[in-house]
Parts: sequence; C-alpha cells; structure tokens
Amino acid sequence: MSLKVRETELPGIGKKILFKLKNGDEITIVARNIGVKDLYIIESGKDEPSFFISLDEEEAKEIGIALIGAEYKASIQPEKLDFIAKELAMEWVKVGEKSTFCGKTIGEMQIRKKTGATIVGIMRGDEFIPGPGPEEKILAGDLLLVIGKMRNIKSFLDYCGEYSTRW
Amino acid sequence: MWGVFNKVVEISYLKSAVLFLLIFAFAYVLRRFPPVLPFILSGFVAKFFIPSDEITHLSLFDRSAVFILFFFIGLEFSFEKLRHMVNIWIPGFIEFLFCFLLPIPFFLKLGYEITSSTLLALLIYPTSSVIFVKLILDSKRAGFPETEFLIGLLIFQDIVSVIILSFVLPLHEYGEVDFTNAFYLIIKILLVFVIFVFLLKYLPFRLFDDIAESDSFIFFIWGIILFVGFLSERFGVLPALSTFLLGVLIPEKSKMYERILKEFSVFRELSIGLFFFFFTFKLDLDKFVIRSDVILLVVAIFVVSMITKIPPIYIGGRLSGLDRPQSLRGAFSFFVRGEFSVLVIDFVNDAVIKTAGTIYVFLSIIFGVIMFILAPSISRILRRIR
Repeated sequence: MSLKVRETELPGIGKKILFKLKNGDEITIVARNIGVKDLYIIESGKDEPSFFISLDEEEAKEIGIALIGAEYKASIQPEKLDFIAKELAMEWVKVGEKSTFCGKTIGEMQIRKKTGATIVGIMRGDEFIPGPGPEEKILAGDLLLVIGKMRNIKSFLDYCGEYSTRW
Repeated sequence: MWGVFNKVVEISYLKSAVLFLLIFAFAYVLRRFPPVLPFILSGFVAKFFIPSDEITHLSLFDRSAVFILFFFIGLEFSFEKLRHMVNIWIPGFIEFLFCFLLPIPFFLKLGYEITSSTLLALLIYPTSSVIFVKLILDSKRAGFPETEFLIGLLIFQDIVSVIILSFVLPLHEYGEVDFTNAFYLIIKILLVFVIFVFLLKYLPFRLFDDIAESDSFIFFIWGIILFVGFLSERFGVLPALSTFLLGVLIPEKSKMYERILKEFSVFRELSIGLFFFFFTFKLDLDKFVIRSDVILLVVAIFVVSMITKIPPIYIGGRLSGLDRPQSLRGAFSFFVRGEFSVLVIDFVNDAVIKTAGTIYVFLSIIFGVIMFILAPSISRILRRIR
C-alpha cells in the first residue's frame, strides 16, 4: 500500500491533511485558521488518536525542516524560511476545460521556463501526485498546486487560460 | 439645563459601560463553564439591575450582533464548502427527516397548531455551530475522524435552517397566515436569492482586493453588513438570511476573505457574546409562565430533541464510512443547541413556547456539553458491551 494524502476543509477550524501511511497508521495535521498546527496520530485499527500535539507556526516550521532532511536544516534557517515565505506565493488552480494546458504535458508547455512558477503537486480526483515530472499530462479538472513569486503565479494563470482559484 | 440633560445621558451611557464590564466579569470568572453560558447568565443577572428599556441606545449592538454572527456563519459555512464535503447530502437529509420533519406531527399531537409545531421542530433541529466548533477546538478533537462529517452536517443544518427560518418566522410574525402574505414573502425571498446568485456569478470580486488592503476596510465591511441587515429588515426579509448569504458571497480565495477571517474574528467573538447576552437581557419576565404545561413541554422538547439526534447521526456516520465507535462518538457529541434556537425564541409570541424554549436552550447547552465530553467514554463502553 502506498502513501495516501487527502486534504479537506474544516470550516470554522481550518484545513485537515490526512496521511495514510504504508503500515495503515494515519497522521492528521489540522492547520487552524489562527496558524496553529495540530498533529494527531491514529494507529492502524484504532478509532481514535493515540497521540496529539499542538505546534505554533515556528515549531511547525522547524519540525517541517527536520522532516525534509537534516541536510536542508543546515542551509535553511527559520529566519531565512520566514523571508522565503514572504517572497513565495502558493495557489491551488483548477484547470478549466478550455485551458491551454489540457491534454498537454508539463514539459511540452515549458511552464517553469515561460512563467517562472512550478507545479509541485496535482490533485486528480482523490489521488495526489506529488512533484509531477515533465512527462505528466495535465487534464481538465486537475487541481494544480503551484508555487512561485506572486508575479510568476500571475503569469501562470494568464498562460493557463481557463482556470478557477475558487474551486 | 444642559447640565441636567448631560447628567441623564451620562448615567444611561454609564450603565451601558457597566453592562460590558459585567459580561467580561461573567465570561472571565466562568471561563471553565460551557461556551456562551456565561453570556446567557450575565444577561439574565444584568436585567435585574438595569432594565433593558433604560438602555435603548444599545439596540444597534443587539441587532448588529445577529447580523455579524450570521455573516460569519455564512462566511465559514458556505454552499461551496458543502459541495466539496463528501457524502454529506444523504446523512443531512436523514437528519433533517428525523430531527425536523418527524417531530412536527409529534407536536401537532400535543395540541400545537402547525406554525407553532414547525417552530418547535426548528427549535430542536440545528445543533449550535458556534458552541460545537468551540468544543471541538477546546477538547482537541479537530483531527478525530468523525469531525469532518459532523462539520459537514453542521453546514447542511445551518443552510437548511436559515432558509426555513426565513419563511416560518415572518409568517409567524404576521399572526394569521394568509395566501397574500405567504405569496409576497416567497417573492421577496426568491428575489433575495436571485440577487445573491447574480452577484455570485457576475460581481468581479478581484476589484475588491484593493479595498481589502485599505486601512479603512473595517468601515466598508461594517457598513455593508449593517446595510444588508437593516435593508432586509425594512423589506420584511429575515436579516439573518441576507447577512448569511452576504458571508457566503465572499470568495474563499480572496484578500477580503483572508482579512475578514484573520483580523475581524474579534468582532465575531463580540457578536457571539452580545447575541447570547441580549437573548436573556431582553427577556420579558412578565411573559414567563411556570405552569405544569410548560414543564411538560420542556420535558417533551428535551426528550424528543435528544432521542431524534442519535439514530440519524449514527446511520449518517456509517454511510459516510465511519466505523461504529466513531459514529457513536459523533452521535453523542451533537446535542448542543444555540444560536438558531435563540433566534426562534426571539420571534415566538406564545408565552408557553417562549418559556419552555428558553429553559430548553439552557438545558441543551449544559447537557450537550456534558455529553460532548462524555461521548468518547460512552462510545468505548458501548463497544465493550458489544
């Protein structure tokens, strides 16, 4: 069984991201509207969490860096991450049926070269494709997770043609 | 002469200031109490010291609290979010059937006519989203598997309730329901929905990004909420419906949405406090009747509202893919009623229903919170018995 990721809204609370691990355990992150991240672990076969911790934004960033890998920790300090966070923008973009991207691969469209923005993930139905390669075909209805500077995101949206950010 | 006039005004305004301090004192001292209960209690206590008719200038706070509260409910619990919540329509309809439609014939049997029976069913149908979300956060259960399902149900309930209320409450206010009144009301509500859909489709929200970044954005948003609320009141449409739809209108991925949610949440807290405070502060105790039929009605409402909640939530939970313990935990966590029930009581003229409804809201908050806390243990015990 592979890792499954599901992101859902919890209106009035924030966003819930559920990771179903290969061994059946589940990790749930609730990113609350006030910035706090709550982390729950539900062991396989159990119906309620056996572990809970609440992290503030700084703690969540530090732990995130550590989880990415120790080699990144040396080069990206939290203050730098703050700077990056201010510079970077992230947008979920739903591809419309008449979009220029429809049926074409990421490589074919030269998205990064032409807009400066990068597609870091694709949500297709219930399936999440993290870090899609240049051979990945974009389909109508795909939810693209795009990062870049604000102006890159704007060029991306222009290049995409028909899209929706209110999905 | 001016000196005397000023003194009168000052005393009245001073009393208002004391009210705010009193609300704070109750909320602070009783901070371990169930959410919103300190506000309800402070309103009840305050009315013995300061008669509500002496503080007429606070009516703007009172009315705008309703507008802002329902604006925020619309903002967070929109149709758009409901559309993306998986498998919530069937459980929502099952719960609507059990908790709203089924109790109506029961109240008719008790001798209440159709409008009163519908109002009583509305009193017990919606769980309080304000209190429930607070309980979820306080008890650290946001990441529990059933929470997503329960929040989905809350959205369903809120949308259905606000629509039904917008029909039933004005009709109840007219006194006698006749065809002309009903026809005009339906036309007015349909018009509100047509305007809403038109704005949702054609209003270029990106134009508002600049406004949202302005320092004076607060004046814009306050002005719009009050304008929509009072305008709909003027035309006999329930302001809660219009301000709810106004909240729904604001696109989730917009600067306006982000700014309102991040910076104006303090007004949400203020409006929740004032809404529940004024509920008891404005109560006319002369219209309160404590008789055997009131007690019987309280017992009937309470029992029906609790019994009808468990099966639909359990069935709905199972249909949504939750396992038995999770569905049970959800069913026992969903008893607490609040803002919608208060809105119904505010409109009711019948002394018996008003008294019974007020007592019921008190009881349902206390009992609902206790059951919410006990729900995980109850679910574990029932699992062992099986």
